Amino acid sequence: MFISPVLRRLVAATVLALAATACSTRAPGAETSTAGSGAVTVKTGPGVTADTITLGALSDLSNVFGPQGKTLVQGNELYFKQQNAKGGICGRQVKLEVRDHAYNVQTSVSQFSALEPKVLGFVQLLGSPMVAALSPKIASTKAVTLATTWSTVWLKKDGLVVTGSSYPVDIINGLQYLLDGGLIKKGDTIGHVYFEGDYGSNALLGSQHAADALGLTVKPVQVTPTVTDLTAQFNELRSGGTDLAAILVSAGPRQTASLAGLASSSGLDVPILVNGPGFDPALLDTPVGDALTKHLYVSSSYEPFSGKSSAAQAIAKDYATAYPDGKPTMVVNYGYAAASVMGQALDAACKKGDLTREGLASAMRSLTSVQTGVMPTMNLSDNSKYPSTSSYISRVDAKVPGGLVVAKEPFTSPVAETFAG
Amino acid sequence: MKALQLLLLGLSLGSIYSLIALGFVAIYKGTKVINMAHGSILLTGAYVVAMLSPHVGFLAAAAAGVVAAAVGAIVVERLVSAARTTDHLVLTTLTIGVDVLLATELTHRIGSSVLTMGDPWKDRQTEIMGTVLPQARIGATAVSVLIIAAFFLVFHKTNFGVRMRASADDPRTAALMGIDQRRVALASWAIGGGLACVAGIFLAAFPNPGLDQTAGLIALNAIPAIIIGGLDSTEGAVLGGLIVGVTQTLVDGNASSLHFLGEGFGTVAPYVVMLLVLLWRPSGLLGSKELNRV
Repeated sequence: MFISPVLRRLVAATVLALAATACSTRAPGAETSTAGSGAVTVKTGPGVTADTITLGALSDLSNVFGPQGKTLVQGNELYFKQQNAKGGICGRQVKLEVRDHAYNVQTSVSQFSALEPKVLGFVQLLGSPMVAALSPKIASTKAVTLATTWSTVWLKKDGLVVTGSSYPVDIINGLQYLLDGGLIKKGDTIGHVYFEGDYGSNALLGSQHAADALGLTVKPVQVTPTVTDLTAQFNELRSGGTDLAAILVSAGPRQTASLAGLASSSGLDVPILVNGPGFDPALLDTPVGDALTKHLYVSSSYEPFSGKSSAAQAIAKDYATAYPDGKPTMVVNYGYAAASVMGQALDAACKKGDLTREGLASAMRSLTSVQTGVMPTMNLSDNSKYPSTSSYISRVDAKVPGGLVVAKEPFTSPVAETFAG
Repeated sequence: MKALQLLLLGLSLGSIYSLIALGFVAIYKGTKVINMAHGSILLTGAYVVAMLSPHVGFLAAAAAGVVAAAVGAIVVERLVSAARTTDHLVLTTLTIGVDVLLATELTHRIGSSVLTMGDPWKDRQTEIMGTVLPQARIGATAVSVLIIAAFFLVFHKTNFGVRMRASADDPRTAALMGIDQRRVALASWAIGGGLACVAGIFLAAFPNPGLDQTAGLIALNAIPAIIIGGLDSTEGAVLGGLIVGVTQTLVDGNASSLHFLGEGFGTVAPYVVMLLVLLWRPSGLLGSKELNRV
């Protein structure tokens, strides 16, 4: 059969054109591209291009929480660096845009507004005042944000994602640990020094709940963040001849240090149980270092930097390589784990072919058993509850990086399960 | 009983504030400038003490810190006087700029560490009337009383003191009488800096764990003290410092029963007192009244 060269060329051109249109099934209004395997088409939103996913982190790198903020960002970076080296997430490299709000609410609001259109979500938002100020914006822009807080105040907020266990649950588990270890007993009175606000007042709910259930009496004393000489508070704890069996601190590291020093030098050798934010390894070089080593127990839902788990050790090794001059704190692992939660949600969103903000939010809530290696298993499906009720109990070891070692692997007190939130 | 305990604690804290306030007033009397960089100078001195103390011992380090803070204050004075204006408000504002620069550098140097002074009192404490008082605080009170006494002695009984007071009262006449205004300015700033460093050492001592990068802000607690006492009165500075210390401790010690006033009222309370004093006596308790001839 004879086919004219003209016809042959026409047929070839038609076939090519058809093939080309088959590739481009571009829907109007949505950017699409082929992902890693080349087979799945992924819907994308703000901060996501064909080869990059951009995430934001709003932290305090230069003010009161500077030392913690820096290490938290390093933890975030470490995770994404590893993922990027493995080929990225959803075939895309993850880019982290970090801004230092220096614990200033106004700065954080401006930075959020500037950064928000360029990122898919935020892997870190540090500071309760900042979370409070930005929570409505997070809800309206649907930018999924991992809040660096463990207060139950921030539950049920659209777009805000909390990780680990709450402050009150950490306190409950901590008291259970002290009780099980014979360090306190039924009928004892326990002092609780706390910051007013979403951290300390929230943690106080935990000690009061545990006291009711375990037959203890709690004597609460409030302190403000600027007060670092706690002589008056210490005297108030002991007023009326109260015999304290333990002191709980839901405040900052310097309040912990002041109390530990006062207790120890007045011969009150009792355990001091604190929430994660109540400890800073820099305190171990001060005169109260010995008192902290002897009496301090830290209850948190993230493993300390010098934890024994394989994940913690791997992080410590990578951290030393990536940040040879870094001063690791407890939150390196939390930063890594938070980034891992975000990474796993991105993976899930990618599988569903939806890397938009809505896609990420629904993928986040589809995660019912998140493993990070350095936090207890988390169930993120319900935004009215914390994803875990387990806590690590850590003790001081001044010789290890970060100053803490695990005394008890994550466990849940039966009392914690009856605590709402 | 509890009130008495808190009063003791408040007086010991107040004596430290008095030192800071006295430094502010010395500088104000000498040059009519309110030194807003006082907090950073305090921290500079404390930083030097913390760095040297493990190597040369506490006393030598403290002396070096006092000298460093005095020199720091003189440098700030030179900077301020280099400005081509004599408007004291402009010069005061200029010290805010110096404070920001100095504080940024110190923040960078101190980083995440906590400055400890290596003082001889360590974490020992004494029971007085049923209340636990840290020995460092008792030491601070004793040393503050001595320093303040020495300050008043020099100020009222020596030639140097006469020159200082004359210049504070009427700089122009004092200059005409042959008193070198520049030397008076330098001396007043050096005294202010030195006092700030001593206060810094005591603020870092037990039961505080030490000073961190934000400690310069503590000097701001002395602002209500100098306003309460009267900006140009050295006696007023001491009185104001004690009032602020006692107010803060009383409010903090009763935080649970004063809960209805809101979070952190202890920090605000001195300012409330300041406002009340200003309504009653606009020049402060011991400040000189402004006289207007009609």
